[in-house]
Amino acid sequence: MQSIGNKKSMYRGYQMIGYAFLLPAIVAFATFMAYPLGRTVYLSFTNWTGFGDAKMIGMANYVKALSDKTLLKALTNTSYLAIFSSIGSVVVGVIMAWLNMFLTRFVGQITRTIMFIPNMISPTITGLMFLFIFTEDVGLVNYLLRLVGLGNLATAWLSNMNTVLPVIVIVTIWRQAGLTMVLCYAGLQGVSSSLIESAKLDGAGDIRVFTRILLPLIKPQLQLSAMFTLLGGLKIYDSVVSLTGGGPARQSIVMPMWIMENAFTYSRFGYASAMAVIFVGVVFVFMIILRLIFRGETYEQ
Amino acid sequence: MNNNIVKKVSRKSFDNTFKGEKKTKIFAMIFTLLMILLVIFPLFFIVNTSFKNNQEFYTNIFGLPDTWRFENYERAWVEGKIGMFASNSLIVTVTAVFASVVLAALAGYALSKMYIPHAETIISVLMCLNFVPGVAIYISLYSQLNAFGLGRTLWIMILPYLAWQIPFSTYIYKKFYDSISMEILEAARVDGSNEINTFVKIILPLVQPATATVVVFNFISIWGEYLWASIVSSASTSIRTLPVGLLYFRGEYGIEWGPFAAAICIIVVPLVVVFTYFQKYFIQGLTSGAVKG
Repeated sequence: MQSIGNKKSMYRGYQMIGYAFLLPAIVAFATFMAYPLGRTVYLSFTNWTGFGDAKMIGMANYVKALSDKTLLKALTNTSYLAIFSSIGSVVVGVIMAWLNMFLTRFVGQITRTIMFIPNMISPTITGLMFLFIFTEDVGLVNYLLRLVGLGNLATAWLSNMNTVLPVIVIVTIWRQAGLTMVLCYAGLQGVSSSLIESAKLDGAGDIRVFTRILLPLIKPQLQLSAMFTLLGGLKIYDSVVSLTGGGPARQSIVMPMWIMENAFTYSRFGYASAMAVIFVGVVFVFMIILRLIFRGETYEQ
Repeated sequence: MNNNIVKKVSRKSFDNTFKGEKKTKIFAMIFTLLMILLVIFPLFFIVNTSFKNNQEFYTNIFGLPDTWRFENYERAWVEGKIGMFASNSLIVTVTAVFASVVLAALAGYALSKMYIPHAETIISVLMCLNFVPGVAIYISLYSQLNAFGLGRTLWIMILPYLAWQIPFSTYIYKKFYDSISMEILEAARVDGSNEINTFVKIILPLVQPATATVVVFNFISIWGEYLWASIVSSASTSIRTLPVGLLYFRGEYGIEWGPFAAAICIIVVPLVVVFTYFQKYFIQGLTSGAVKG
């Protein structure tokens, strides 16, 4: 038997190895994430132009941000895209996951595989693919509309102010619904079938079983899906660049776009940094709201 | 009696298909079919277009091509330099994924099993910073890395990419290590196995689903990353990756749909084939790892 003193020194030995294991990851993380983030916060109080020395100008950048109309537009768009694409993806995903349980095992498997494909395609390419579909002259949507005699509804989807944001939401849902579906499906598989059967013996229909039993039971998976899609929506940039480039007339501009433009096109790194800090704050507010929405007990089976 | 019925019924539905009402089943089939069509059609349309020449594209947009032409693929590969971008993407992605997996596997292990104080706090801080949108990091990182002289090399992508994947990867790994009982470890330690040996021979094989998850997750995010890649390759075309190169390909020709669609196919098809194979492990790992906590 080892004495207690021995054991303590043994722990310490493992701890040292542990620190050695942890160190490379922490160094990489600190160098390429934590430090630059800290530097961005610092730059947000300066008038740095990308060259030379940065001069402290206090809160001036933040004051300027308050009256920046494009910033407001970008924030609104980013929030709009995040909220609606997240809700849409989770709703479509959870319904698909639920319906998957009524299909035979083989068909269900194939469905999940197919639904997951868009998730593997990078957002830039997704955007480009949908250019084909929503483009005005040879696009599929307009073609179909004319085909069924609704030609007057055909429009330049990507340069019409009223349709451009919903189109981006749809494209994002197309991309993300497969992920929420498989997450929710995994949750549904954990629900014991005897629970469902006993509810049915009590006379509950399929829909009632879904809303009253299944949905509450897969709350953790719903929350995870919502978090993934909300974060995805907030950071959305690539597919907007390839779909609209922010147009028409900046109507579909998103936060990363406006920040990048200020930094790399106008060399206003200080101001861009301040907007980035504001953006980080907004993302965290969204995350907190999400937590509050899903607050409360999780049900154990 | 009653118990027996329930037992029978639940055994019958054991394969996780519900004994739903007829109308629900019909609705399930119709709705699923509709969604599958919605997902497949854009993909089909691209593949279809990639075999058509310009003239055919405009006269016969939605029909099948009359002959299967491969010249678009040739043009995409040669004129669009998709080959060069693909090799850049491959080098960057494989290196960064490999390195991030190694670092995260070690770090997760340390945080789970090596008595490091405040391990939970450390992982929470990492995950919290993971929420930070990339753009807040890019604007100051770029000038910094340029100052280090990484400017025109692929390292300017590899190093940050691997670092940005660390929080989530470490988190997944830690969740899996947490489910391994300490007794296995202690047995190995008492037997005199050194820590690295224990880790490689005993622990890593036990967390294979975590590795699969992290590999696939990181591969997809790094392979498709556009924003950082476009910033760092603005000064040097030779380090462009696929997502960036493709956007320029589109720019050069106006939009010439045929070669463009072919380029998309070259990028997408291999990825889809490979990951359809891995998908099962990926989902398993993602859900068990992320939901458990």
